Amino acid sequence: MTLPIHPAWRTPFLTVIGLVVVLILAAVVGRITSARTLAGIDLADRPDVVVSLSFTPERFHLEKFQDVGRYQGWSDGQAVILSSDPEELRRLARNYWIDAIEPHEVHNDKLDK
Amino acid sequence: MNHAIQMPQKPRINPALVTGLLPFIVVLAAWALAPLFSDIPAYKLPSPAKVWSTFQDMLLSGSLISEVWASLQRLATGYILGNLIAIPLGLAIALNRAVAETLTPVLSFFQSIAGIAWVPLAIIWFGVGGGSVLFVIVNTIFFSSIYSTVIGVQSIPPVLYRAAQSHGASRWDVIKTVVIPGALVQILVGLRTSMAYGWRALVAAEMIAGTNGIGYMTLEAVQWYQTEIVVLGMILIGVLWLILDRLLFVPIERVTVRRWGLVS
Amino acid sequence: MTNSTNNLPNMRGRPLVSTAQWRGTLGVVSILVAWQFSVWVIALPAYFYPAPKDVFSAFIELMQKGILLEYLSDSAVRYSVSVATGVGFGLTFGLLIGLSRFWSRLLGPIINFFYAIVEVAWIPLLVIWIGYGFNTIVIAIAYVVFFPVLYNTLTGVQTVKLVLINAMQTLGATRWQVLVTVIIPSALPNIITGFRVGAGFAFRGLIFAEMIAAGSGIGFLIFDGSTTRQTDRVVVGMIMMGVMWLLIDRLLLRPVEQATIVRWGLVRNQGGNT
Repeated sequence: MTLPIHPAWRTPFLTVIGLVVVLILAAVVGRITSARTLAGIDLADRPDVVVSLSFTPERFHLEKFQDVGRYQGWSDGQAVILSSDPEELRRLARNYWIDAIEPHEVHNDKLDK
Repeated sequence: MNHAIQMPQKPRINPALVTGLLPFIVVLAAWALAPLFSDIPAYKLPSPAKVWSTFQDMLLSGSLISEVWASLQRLATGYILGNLIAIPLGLAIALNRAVAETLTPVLSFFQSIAGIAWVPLAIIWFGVGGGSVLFVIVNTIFFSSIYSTVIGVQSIPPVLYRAAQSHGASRWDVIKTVVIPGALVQILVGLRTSMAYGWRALVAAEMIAGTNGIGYMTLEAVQWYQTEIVVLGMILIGVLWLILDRLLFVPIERVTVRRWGLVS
Repeated sequence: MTNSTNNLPNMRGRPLVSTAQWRGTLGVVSILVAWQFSVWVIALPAYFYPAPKDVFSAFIELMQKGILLEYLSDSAVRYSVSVATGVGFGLTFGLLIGLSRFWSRLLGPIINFFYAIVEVAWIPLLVIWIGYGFNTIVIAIAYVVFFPVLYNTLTGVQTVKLVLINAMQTLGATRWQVLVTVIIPSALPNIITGFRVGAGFAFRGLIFAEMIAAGSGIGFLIFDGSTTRQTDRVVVGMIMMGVMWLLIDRLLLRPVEQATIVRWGLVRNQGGNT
């Protein structure tokens, strides 16, 4: 492909273009994932949610949960967050390490373990 | 105007000096007068007077001297040790073209992470304290110098080797007359660069993993909101570097430039 | 480029990978083997001396948990913003000081003074003034980049051949035209050198700044790993640091250097400073 610049500048030019493309793609994929993950949830009134992960969350993840709402604890592959902020929840849902986010029924037997 | 009094002839003031001092005066004035014009609390911006009196106190109590001495001792040890091992080793590696080509990417990689990145590992291995700091300094200097040396030898034009050999030079003669002088410029530049990195590594490592020294003193004071010590530390760090640089490297550069003409 | 036989690539006899590259790869592989061997010999627990496989599995784990990618991007953003800011200021002031006797006299000494205070020393004060995080780091790292760019730009500007400026002026060029068509291109190799030196110091400085003034990033990863005795993560961080620099160097710094020197065919003029 012919570029409108001197060939010596090809590598840095393509690097920067490549980075920009990767960033845009990541953002787009993130938005799509987010929409899909949150499909079944009504975000309007600060829902309580259950976040499923395939690993035990570390401080890195817990801090993100705390940004979303009142983090209640982790058990059996799931984290409960009460009163979640819709915008923060969307941001959380963009992450690829989230397995699923589901609405949380308050009296859920699973949590009594 | 009263011309009766004979004014002594005023010495001519160098205008450049005055203009140059102006920013310093402005900064000092702004520093001293800042509390009058803004709400900056004293703990964030100690007055110049406070910093000066802290300086005097610490100097008299001897604590300043001991911190500075600890740092300089560490730096000197690390610098000498690191270069002493790195330069001969670098020369040895670079003499054999195959070995040099094999190791250059590895050395380049280690050079890019030399120093600061090793501090946490040093803490795990040696614990917090002078040992870790010294390790980090030696590490920084070593990888920096060895890389400079190897690159230095590699940048000697091959025609010089052939010229020496056509005069019947033995391997040792070649090393003595071609390799060492040829690489010397790069080695000297490497000495200066490794000192620049080493100095930063010293201050940084003392901040994270040290128990004494100027870097430690400066960061530790943040915890106690003793900002006057922080500022004092910063000024000291600046002054010490100025001294180190002027003392060591200006002479070196003068020698190289004088002897070999322009630095390559 | 002229058709000299030395410059044309000989496609027939030339191997795809040069000898030097094979040897280099061999070197990297040998180091890995030596590492693994030393692990067997030293036989200490993984939290003290991790083996390549420990480090590799830590790498996979950090990727799966999303930690590594986010830290990498945080570091990359901080680095880019800092370097861009530092270069901008360094270039501006370098040109200003190089072209004007007044500004050189006014700002020269104080810039020399602040140059002596390494960026590392500013971080504690910046933490007191503006706390931890992005702003502190960007200010500190832009500070690092500023000085080499300024000094090298200065050298570049001061070594512009006077005859070129005079020639342009005889052709009736305005000062702006002289700046853009003669001074900047002539100084460009020096400016690029300054950029490269600054980029190097900035990278090291960034990792350090992240260790004490940030809650994310590669520097933080390295430091945090040691606090939690996860030495395999520490090594992952160190390797990532090396890889990041490798990419920055190969994909940006060296090609830009090649492009300016190749394009203008200029020899770099020498000045003093690192």
